[in-house]
Amino acid sequence: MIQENKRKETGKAGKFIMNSVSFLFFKSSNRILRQILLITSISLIPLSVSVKAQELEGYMYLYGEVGADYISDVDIPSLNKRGGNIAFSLGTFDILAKISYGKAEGLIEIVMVSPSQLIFEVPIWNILWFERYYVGYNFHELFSLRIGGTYGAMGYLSRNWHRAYYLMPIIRRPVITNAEDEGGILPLYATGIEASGETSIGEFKPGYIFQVVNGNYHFGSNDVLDYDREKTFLGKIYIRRYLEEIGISLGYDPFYIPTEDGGSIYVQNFIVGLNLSYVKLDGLIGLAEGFIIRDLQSKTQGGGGFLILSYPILHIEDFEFRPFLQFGFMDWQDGNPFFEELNKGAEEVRKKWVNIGPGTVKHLEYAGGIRIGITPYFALKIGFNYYDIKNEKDLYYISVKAGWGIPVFQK
Amino acid sequence: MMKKVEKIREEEKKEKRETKNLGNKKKIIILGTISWFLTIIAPFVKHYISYAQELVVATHPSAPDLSIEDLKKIYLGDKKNLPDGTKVTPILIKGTPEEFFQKVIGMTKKQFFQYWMIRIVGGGSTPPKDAESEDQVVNLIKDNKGAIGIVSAERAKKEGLKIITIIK
Repeated sequence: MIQENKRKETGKAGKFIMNSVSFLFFKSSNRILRQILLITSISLIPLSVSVKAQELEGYMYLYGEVGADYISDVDIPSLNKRGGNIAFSLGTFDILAKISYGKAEGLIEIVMVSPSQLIFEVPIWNILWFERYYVGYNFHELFSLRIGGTYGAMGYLSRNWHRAYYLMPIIRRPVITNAEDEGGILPLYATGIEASGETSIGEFKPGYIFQVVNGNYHFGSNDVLDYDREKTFLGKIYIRRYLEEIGISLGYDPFYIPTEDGGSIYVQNFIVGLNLSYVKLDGLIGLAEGFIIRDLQSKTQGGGGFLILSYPILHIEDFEFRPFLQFGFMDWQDGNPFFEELNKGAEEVRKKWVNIGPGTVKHLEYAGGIRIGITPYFALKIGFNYYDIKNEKDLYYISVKAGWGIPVFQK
Repeated sequence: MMKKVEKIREEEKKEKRETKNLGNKKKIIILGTISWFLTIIAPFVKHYISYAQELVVATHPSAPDLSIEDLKKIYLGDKKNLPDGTKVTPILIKGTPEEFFQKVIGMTKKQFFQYWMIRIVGGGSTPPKDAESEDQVVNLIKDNKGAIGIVSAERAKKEGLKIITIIK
């Protein structure tokens, strides 16, 4: 009787699948959809036959962070918020999955932000987006090619630790590592083609990354600068030893800044960066990065940098008590259109992204705090950031964050 | 008189039977307790034995020689091919002992996982393959020239695997 019922259920399920398939392939009113489905299915048949399960490798990880920031100065008249304010945030929730088959690879990272952060006018489309999405092929250890969206080859922290907040010894990222849509100065999101390679000299691995990309838009006074009509060229050469790295980043980022009279200013940013990264997971972590951005048109320049030092003072099995110190700065020459335009948008940035920092302003940043590692996958952080802002009121943040990262699947 | 004697004998027999039964009951209780105790501690004993036995890092019999430094690079994702060009597949068995991480990798288990979280977030590398059992590790090594994993010394010898180093 049970078997008969099972058979009936299986029969029903089979019938349902068959009906759905026949509807999609043959009865769907959308002719283009039908054709896409047929072509995709036909092209997948040889792939599914030829791919042996053991040749596929892949993993999926989840990352997340929750926390709260007390911010010394908030001024959003439309929301009647002024003065000190506590901003609770569910932070971000990331899904990162990578799959490789022989020398081919693909990576997808989807980021979700809680709608509760929308109280500060963050547009709704920020709830979910593709952080990174690329496919690639490793032709040789000296030449791999990736096509899609990844991080710009600028410095170390942004590219390597961009979304792993809980792994970072610090509580708030330095202002110069803000993304473009947060008012950042560096091209951190890059969509296009990337070539990279590495070789070995003993324990050291010299390597390069070269990208021809469209950058993300910058957040200026008109909301949008550089809507990607011009190509950006980014490159980095480095020598790495496990997580330690010395690198030089170079970039050429031309674009137009729209002006109020309907015209535009042409900017040709030439970027030079240097990063020194010393990362001992059981000892000192020292990260230093500096960037100079010179506009070849106005012949003026600006830039910024940061220094992070952290050392564990207590280590009992998985538990780790790791204090940190952080120093950062940003400055530019008067008349530089890029920095000044971003500066005009800084106030707007603070309104939209209340918990990210001061935006593009001339400032010095001093921070300190502690990271309490509870397991390899979970950490608590408490910290204080003070921004000494030129020509504006200073800002400070007192932050508490809990971050985590867990492997979901690994093959 | 005869009846009395028979009665006494009968009582003696009964007593003996009862004593025997009591003895049997005691035996049953003792044996029961022992078997119960063994059932409870068996997994711990098994665990102890599995950890007490000699563990080695082994690879395919035809794989080229590897040094400890090579192993470190392989498990940290910085060496992707064997000296003969074969793609390398490092395997981590569930419950890998701390000695492996400290002796071969030069890190604690916790630091090893932290390291891989950072490398994964960077999007560059694929961490070592997970294996649930020794059988799975042995099968992967036998099927793949580039596979490297941790197995008991006894099993490695029995299966004819190439031993790279002894962990403990």
